[in-house]
Amino acid sequence: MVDVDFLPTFLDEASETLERWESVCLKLENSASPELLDDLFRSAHNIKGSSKSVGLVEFGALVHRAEDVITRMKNGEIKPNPSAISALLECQKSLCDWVEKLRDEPTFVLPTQQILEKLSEFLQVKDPEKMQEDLGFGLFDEDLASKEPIHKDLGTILIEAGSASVQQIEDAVKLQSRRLGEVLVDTGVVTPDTIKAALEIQKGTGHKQDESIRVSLRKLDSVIRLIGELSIQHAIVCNARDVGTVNEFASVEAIGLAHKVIQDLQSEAMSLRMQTLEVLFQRMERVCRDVAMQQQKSIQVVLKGTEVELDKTVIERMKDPLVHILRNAVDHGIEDAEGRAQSEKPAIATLTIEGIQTAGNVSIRISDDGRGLNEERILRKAIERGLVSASAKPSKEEIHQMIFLPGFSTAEKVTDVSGRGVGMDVVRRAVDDLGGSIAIESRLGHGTQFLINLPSTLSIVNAVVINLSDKLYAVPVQDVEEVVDMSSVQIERTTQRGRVINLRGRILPVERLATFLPPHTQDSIQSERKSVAIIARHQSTTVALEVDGIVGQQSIVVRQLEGKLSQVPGFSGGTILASGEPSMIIHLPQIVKSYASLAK
Amino acid sequence: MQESLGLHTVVPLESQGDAADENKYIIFALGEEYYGAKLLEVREVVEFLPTKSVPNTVPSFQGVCNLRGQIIGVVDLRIRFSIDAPKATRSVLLVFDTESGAIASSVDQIASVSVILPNDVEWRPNIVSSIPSKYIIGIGKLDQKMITIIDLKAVLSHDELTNIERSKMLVKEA
Repeated sequence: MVDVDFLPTFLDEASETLERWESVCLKLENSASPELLDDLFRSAHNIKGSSKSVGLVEFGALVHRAEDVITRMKNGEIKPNPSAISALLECQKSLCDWVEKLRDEPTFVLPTQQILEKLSEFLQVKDPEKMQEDLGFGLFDEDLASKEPIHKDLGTILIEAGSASVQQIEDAVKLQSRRLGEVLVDTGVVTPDTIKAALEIQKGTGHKQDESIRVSLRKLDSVIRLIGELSIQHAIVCNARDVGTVNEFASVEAIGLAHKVIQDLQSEAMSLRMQTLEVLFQRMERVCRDVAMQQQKSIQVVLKGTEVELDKTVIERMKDPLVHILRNAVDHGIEDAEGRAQSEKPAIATLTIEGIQTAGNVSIRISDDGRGLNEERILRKAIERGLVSASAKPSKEEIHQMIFLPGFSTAEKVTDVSGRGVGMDVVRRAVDDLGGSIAIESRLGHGTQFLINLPSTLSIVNAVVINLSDKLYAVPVQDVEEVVDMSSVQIERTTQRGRVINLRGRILPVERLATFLPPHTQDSIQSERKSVAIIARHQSTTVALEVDGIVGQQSIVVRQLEGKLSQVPGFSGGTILASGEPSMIIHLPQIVKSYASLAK
Repeated sequence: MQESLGLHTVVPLESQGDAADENKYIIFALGEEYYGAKLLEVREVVEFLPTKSVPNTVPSFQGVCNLRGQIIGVVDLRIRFSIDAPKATRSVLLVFDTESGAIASSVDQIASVSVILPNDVEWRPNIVSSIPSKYIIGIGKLDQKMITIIDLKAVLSHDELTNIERSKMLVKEA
């Protein structure tokens, strides 16, 4: 029986150890030192031990098999050649998937036959089933009879509900290479609806998994020290209130100090969410390696700036976009051996993934020395697909950005790796959602570089507070290009509705922000003052948006909007302003996008 | 408030077992009429908080409020159910935790927390009212008064808040 109380701890630990496993395997490919083998062995051994202690018998069995392979490697009986290492990496991949599945479904069992056989080839043991049998199947044992299981597995629920007998379930479990529910439906024991209902029950009893991250002790100590300091200042102020000296110097100073401590505390607390890019980059290295191997291209992946820190949420949300970019880079960007020879490039291609820390931002740069973007072909394709008009004369940069258009895919052949027509537009959207940007630089024949600019944290944003229809709203500073006093510029009318301003030689269209954010039906508007505009840009559209006033600038803590409220267009979140009143955060890029579609 | 309604069956919350909680309803007023909602579904009752209206939302969406640092949307039930009565100056918020997050509804006042036994409820009555019948769980009898029991949680979790009729905004992709 799986021990659900300790499962989350095990899963976190296992994920970490599996990452280690992966990085060691990747290093082993280059040099098979005994230290690395020892390291790998320790990783496998640790997981094996802890998986068995939480009752994951099959999981342990698979790790055990891998451990056997590693032991033989250590003893020099097997050479750590690419095929053996690939098998170990494959095993690591399965274990990672397994760990992810276990988070939602503590009784999940991955079919391991294939991978066990693969590992066994190195051990010359041809009967993986035998070994599995010895270990039992783990789903049903004496715990079945226990009165109050914390988490019931599907079988138990079905038996208790009288939908299936113990014998039927046990038979099904013996056959199980797939999910228990599917087997039961196929053999006609229960209907799909019954399974669905039982799974609902299982979900209800299951624990909502809490995520956890590792925090350095130094950071934690610093937070505790600051809280101590804060309570001292608080005590001084409280005392002053009691004895009636609140307005005297000592307490005024204490209030000032408390303010400073709170700021420090805030930045320390935020830094607890920060993680280095190392794990993310390592995973990306793996992706490149796998794709390159599949396509028989030889590449060298260089990781730089792995110590740069980024908010955990940002890292998580960048994972898939980066995979897309890298797959494309290896698949389309880098030439095959023949192509490289023809263009007199080194046989081994170089792909660099780099983390760069700038003030308040983090950039990720991905550059390759492949064939570069073919602007002519991109433009032709975009016109073919009706994504741009045939008469358009876009600049080089605009053509590069076209690869992010939905429905754009230049791969002549659809390959298994990339070119399924989805991908790069997803990258763009993910980066946009995070409030970042992507720039592309490319020289035909020399390579391509993606520079992704990301905010290092999502929780605290510097914002301009604006007044619109007598309500205050926050606009992240990063979205505002500039604030313009409209009384100082000449507004010219082009057509009946269109207005433009000439801002230091740039002709910008003017639109009222209230066109997109009209006052709510219940509001009555007192005043109409249109004197200030904020300049906002999204992709190739720049527009001056008139607002009723600028109140000031402040750091705001971003609160995610819940439920249906998050779907209301025009806003990216909510916040509490310094006055204590709730305020919505305006999502300018979306407004500009709406303006652009209006202009069409 | 209780006296004005003449409700005597107010039960102190701790006095009954779990089974009885099922039959407890929070009775609230919207204009002249009294309504009930399942007590167990209510996360908390909050006294009047100022709300701030939000553009691009439906008329019944009153706005957002600051509930101890959390931004929570508030639905005005009198507009939602087209109840024509002057608005109470200090309304009360019933906060619900729906699957998609917390959301509150504003009502004029809370009358009581009362037990209505299943036998005293006409379940799923077929009546025409300003409240869509799929949201009416039943009509309960409480001290000679008729209480319309509403599935408020369903109302709040199913209602779409977006309305861009008057705006030039593109709709967000879900």
